[in-house]
Amino acid sequence: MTRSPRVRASNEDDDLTRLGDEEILALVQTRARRFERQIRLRDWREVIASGVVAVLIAPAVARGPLVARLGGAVILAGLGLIVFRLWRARRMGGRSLTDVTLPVASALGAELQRVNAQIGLLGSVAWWYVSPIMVGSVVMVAGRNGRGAWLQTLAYAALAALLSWGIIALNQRAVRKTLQPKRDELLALLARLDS
Amino acid sequence: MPSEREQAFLTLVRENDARLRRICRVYAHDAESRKDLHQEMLLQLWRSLGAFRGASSAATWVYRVALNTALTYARRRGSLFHVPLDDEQLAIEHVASPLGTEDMAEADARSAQLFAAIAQLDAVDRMLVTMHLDERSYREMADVLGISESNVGVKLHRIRKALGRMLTEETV
Repeated sequence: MTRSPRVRASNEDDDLTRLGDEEILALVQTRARRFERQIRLRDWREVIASGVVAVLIAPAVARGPLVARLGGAVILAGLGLIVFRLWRARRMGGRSLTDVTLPVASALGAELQRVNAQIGLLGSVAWWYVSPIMVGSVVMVAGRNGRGAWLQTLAYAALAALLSWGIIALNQRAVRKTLQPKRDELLALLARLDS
Repeated sequence: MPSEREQAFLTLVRENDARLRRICRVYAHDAESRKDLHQEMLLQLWRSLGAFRGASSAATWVYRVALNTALTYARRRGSLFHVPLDDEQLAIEHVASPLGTEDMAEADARSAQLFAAIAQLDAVDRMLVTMHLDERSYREMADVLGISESNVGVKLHRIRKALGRMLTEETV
């Protein structure tokens, strides 16, 4: 085996400040706490948002016209579906962003899998995120308005459709602009490791 | 009084300090970025410490954590394919040795050239060079990267040729 070139030690002694033991421990412990808090917040954000919406919708499911109650029930089921899909996606993808203890090729492979799952999730957002909530809310509004106010119901449906289109377009943009380049980058790195 | 975990972490960091610093130098282009990356590596080592079972050597394990962190860092910074050297970096690399002897100044300059050339390599090649400079065996490098030893050999051969070319061009 060819020996590596000797590099003078002083050249490794760069401009990084040398920290004392206590400083190192304080640094990693503070940053670790902040990191865990961010992950927890991310994990619970959708659950809390869904919970709040569920509490607001619940009375409409308990009383009022039958069609409106049906719409409310569809929204509640939709919220449950959203929480389940996100929970499953995180469970399959692992909690942290990258398992840094894996060999580099395996870590990149795991991340590629996670990015592919995210692409699938955002690509199908119309079915598991947008449709149940929008359809449910339109049915609920229609039930509340009754036949006499069909024009308002129609206007609400048009607004809901526009909003749905916006959400779907935003997610597709995120796939195109962020996730696909990320996937390409990971594939390029894996190919580079393999070549 | 540090706990057992804290003590193990501090020992690991102290024993691998030069490695971590070398990786920072190879993957981050200015003082601020190097500091950021160094702290990120310390954080990841701390968070992953519980997963270290001693199946591989401590150095191999540290390399995995540090290089995965550096790679993520390089991806975030868009410096996967080369590290842009700024004026500050060049100034650091050309600073005279504190002892001021000619030999040491020459060694500094040679090393600065080498690191400038390494910065032109892509992120994967930089990983191999970093470990090669640390005289890690092919087996260890293969273990860190998750590729075969023969692949390591082929890549290092290619890298040496590329570095040689770059350094020759620079001195001509």
